Amino acid sequence: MANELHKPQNTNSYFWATLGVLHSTIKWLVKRRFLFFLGLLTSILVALSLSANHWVPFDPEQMAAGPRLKPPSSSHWFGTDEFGRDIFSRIMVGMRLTLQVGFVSVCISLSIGMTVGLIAGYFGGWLERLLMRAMDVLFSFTEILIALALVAVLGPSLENAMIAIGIAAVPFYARVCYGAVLVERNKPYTEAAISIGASHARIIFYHLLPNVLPIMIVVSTIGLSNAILAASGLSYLGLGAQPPSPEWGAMLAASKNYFQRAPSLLFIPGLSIMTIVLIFNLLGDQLRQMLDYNDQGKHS
Amino acid sequence: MTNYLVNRLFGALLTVWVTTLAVCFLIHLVPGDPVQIMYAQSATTTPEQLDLIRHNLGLDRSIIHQYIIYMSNLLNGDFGTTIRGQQPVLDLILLRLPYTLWLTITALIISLIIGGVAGFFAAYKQGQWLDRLLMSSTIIGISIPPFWLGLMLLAFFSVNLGWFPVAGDGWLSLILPATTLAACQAATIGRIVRSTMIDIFDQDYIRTAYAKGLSKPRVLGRHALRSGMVPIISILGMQFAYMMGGAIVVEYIFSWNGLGRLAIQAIFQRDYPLIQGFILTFSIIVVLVSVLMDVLYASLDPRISRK
Amino acid sequence: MKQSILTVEKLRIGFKSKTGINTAVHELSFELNAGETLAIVGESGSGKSISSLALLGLLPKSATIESGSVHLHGQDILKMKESELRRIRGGKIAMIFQEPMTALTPVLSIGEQLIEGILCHQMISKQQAYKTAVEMLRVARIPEAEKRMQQFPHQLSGGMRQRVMIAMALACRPQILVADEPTTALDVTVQAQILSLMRTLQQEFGTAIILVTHDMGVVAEMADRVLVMCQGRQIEKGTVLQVLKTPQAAYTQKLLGAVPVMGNVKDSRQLISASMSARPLLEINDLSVRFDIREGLLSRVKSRVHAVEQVSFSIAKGETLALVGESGSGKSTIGRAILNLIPIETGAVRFKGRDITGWSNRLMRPLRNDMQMIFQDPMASLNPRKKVGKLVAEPMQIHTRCSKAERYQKTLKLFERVGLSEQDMQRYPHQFSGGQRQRICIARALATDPDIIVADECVSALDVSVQAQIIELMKSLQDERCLSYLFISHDLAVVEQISHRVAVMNMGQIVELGDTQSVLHMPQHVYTQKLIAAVPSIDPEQTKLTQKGLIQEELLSPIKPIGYKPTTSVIKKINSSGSHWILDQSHQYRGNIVK
Repeated sequence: MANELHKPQNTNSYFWATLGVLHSTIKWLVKRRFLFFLGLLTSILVALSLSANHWVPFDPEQMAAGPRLKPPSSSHWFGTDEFGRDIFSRIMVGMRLTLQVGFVSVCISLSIGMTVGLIAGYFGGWLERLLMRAMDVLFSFTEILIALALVAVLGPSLENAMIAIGIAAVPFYARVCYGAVLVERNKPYTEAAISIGASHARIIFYHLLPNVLPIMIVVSTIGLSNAILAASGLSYLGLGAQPPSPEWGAMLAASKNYFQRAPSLLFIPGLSIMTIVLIFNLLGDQLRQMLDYNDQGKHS
Repeated sequence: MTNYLVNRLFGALLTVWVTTLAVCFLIHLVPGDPVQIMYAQSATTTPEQLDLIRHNLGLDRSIIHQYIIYMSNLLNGDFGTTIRGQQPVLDLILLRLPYTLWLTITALIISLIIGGVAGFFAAYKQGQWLDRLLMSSTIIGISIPPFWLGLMLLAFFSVNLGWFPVAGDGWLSLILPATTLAACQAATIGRIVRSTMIDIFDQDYIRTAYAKGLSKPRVLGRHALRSGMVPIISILGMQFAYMMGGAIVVEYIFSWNGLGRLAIQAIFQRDYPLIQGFILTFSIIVVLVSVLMDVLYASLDPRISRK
Repeated sequence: MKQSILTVEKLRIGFKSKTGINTAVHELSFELNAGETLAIVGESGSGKSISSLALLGLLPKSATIESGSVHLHGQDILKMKESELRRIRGGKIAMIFQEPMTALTPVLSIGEQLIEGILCHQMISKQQAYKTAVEMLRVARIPEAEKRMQQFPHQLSGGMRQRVMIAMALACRPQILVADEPTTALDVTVQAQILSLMRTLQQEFGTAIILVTHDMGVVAEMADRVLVMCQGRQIEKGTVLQVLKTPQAAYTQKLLGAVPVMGNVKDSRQLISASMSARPLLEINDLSVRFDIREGLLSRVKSRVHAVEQVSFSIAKGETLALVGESGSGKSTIGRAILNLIPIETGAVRFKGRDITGWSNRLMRPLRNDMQMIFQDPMASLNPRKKVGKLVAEPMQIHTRCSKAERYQKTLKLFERVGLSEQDMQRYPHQFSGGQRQRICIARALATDPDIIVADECVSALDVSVQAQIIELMKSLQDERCLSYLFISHDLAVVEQISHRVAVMNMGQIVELGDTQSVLHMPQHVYTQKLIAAVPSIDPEQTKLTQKGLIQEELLSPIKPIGYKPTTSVIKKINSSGSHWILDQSHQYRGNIVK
């Protein structure tokens, strides 16, 4: 933003300033080891999944890449499925789908939800009442129902599942954003901003948003886990990703018939889902704790 | 208090009304011709028959007209007829509804007990090993995909060990699906109870109670718990809605003869009248329970029940 | 012969942190005799509250008693087991707290809470406990005691709740009552009633009181002996006459010196007469502000709060007009209405001759240059995520077309003027103390060189020594820049220091307006007299608690149904020029009496 207070400095002081910033960042990271570790882990997983197609040992869709329904071995680290496809490759490529679904639906919900929440919370009046009533109605439908209904009419596919889950979660994000905006709007610094003559845009984007954003980030990480669970659930039912897609929920659908012969088929995709969801839940929890700590007066 | 309740009731009616609107026009979201899609598998239907069906469903009239027909049918108890077996939708729904309610309510009670007790003790021993243990387990609990848990329980206990029947109607067959539903919800409820109680333990009036010389059990039980029940009850309505949603998948896995399983079948068969009926019923139940919870909440909180 | 019942010896309390224990209270020692009142006085951070909590074993989990002893009748309380301690709490030592609004359990009735406290310490039947409870409510001068037993805390006002707390505390006739800032959260007239009640009950029951407070006036009225604390250390101890009249320690002298006392003003503020003849800077005529109350089905408006009713006054250039009143009098509402931060119902606001009544935000924007506001809570009025330098520069950024460098220089000058440094510009709000934050808010208000500043309770949240500094700053700024202030406050002594004229408000109306000296020292209106009488005097030899304690709390309600037409107010002039007038009492605004 173009409102930095600039003071002419010489290069020497720039150097010491940067060093100082580096030093305090490292100290901060060490204090929050767990958060740092989770963040690192997430980045590694994202990188792995995005490049999955390039480095997996087998083509995820290639049937008879190995003998059928084999348990984990040295050649097939996670074993093979009922068509002889390598499970490890499928899991890795499927990770990209899982993360993609989560990310896209959260983007949809967040953008629509935050817009609704900001408008309703800031402008108030009949607009607030109307929007929040609408959110209440949507809320009572519950996410699963909305998602199911949308998939039912649009037809089963991973894209439709993404959109359905994205729309279904809007009331949740809208409510959280609305609540946060109300809290901040009632604080004196907002009134102070009005009294010095700030425009609506300035108050919303310069003052309110930075204070609302942390809460929304925390909520988004947990929302991400929920979206992933919902998407894999829909795929399991056959309403999301369609075969031969290596989406983890879809992989579980087939496992029901074979688990006595190849329990890895049941175990591994489910465990993968759980692991990713767990990582994001832990991330959200750590962020939330950091937020609570910050609210008690210390801001880093 | 009456003002509060009337307000809630009004909100509930509004929600149900909007649901009918949404449900009625859901069919228009379908890309392409819904009637053709519905009868796509039935090769014997002629175009004339399709036209007749379209006429019966009112799809060849104006939107407002359609809605009026739909609403008048609804109020007469006619939820339409299914495509497959030409059965009245309402009858089918009413047949399966009790099973879903049975499952959901049982799971709700189990998760309430486990989650409530765990959350309370975690809050009481905040920061100590018990709290940390319980909180770790709840994080894992909310991360487990419910359908996976259900599959694993089914695989292990029903198929492998044969302790429970794979499908069925009775209490024995209820145990596994209820456990699946309850497990994930108990984790969520546990966390909510814990954070609510921690907030309450910090309140001034708890300090006043101790300052009077009251014993710890009395302070916790009468002052803390009673105050805590109020916000927790208000959350329960929402939890019930989530569980109803979760029940859909669980019923499918365990072949439990409830509404959810019906719904999935309907979606696969593109049986739109049945889908509409299901959505409407689901909404009505959720709204009813929500109003019930609000009534309970209002009666427990003297700030609402008295002026 | 004075009988010592409580002996505190070298009490040391600390807070646990990751790096060890931080000592908050160092070596506190004192004695309490039967039937006397000991006041523990200090500013925020002095450790007085935590010391009082330690006496009952009610320390928060993060605090710990490092060393020392507290002997009650020879036994060390600190070494007692929980079960023994429970018998003491409420039975021998009782405690009342600062915030009456949150001190009672909302889901249990008053009666239930009273009775359980009684049954805890006395082996009597439930019916007897009930009778005792009702009797205690009567003793605490609560009207309709029987009815109150069934009521819930939210149905009572703050003052009433504090009386219930007192009744609860004294129900088992404890020997010691520990009162932690019991009247800080109450209006001054209610404070007078509560203090008077405590005094009366002390004489009746022979209870010793440990009164923790920051208010020297309360100390002068109530205490027999005083203990002064600062930063966890004991500074001075003695009888109230010794400490207040002849303080030995430098800190005590400084503390007493900083307390604003009515009538102590060396030279009352004289307006620079040059601007008197000119047109007033700000004129308010018949201003009314009402808030809607939405109830029922579609949130329809059923009734309205008449927050401000037919208020008129004017402020000249360079003048300070104070608006004083208790909570709910409408003074803050006027401040906001003048700046068009809230909608105006009827009436007119003229600024520099222009009618700005009800102007929208867009129209007001250019005027925001000239009319600024400072709020009560300096922490909350600064955006916690922005550097304070940026916050102070913001008005300049919105209104003027300076370059970044120019803004920087101007901001630097402002910081230096309010007593802060260049490095401070890069810090965040939470890194400053309360007084410093208020200076930042003042700097921000000055950024566009305004003509008038509305100061809404801007020193109420500050320690007394810091208050004095901020008032001095505001006075010198006024002299320098010919600034006008609308100074909103409930503290008459502070008002006397800074204002030229005073308007006293009650129930949304101005009941008296005139020169500061006339209004505060020769009040004509009944309400003003009541208000001034309730302010505790800092001279222990001139205590005012002679009232028996008002029995009826007549709460007039400002809530009226739609369409209610208030009677027009009639003014009665006190002096010939009309510069001092009061609201004619026979036409006073009457409302419904709320139970």
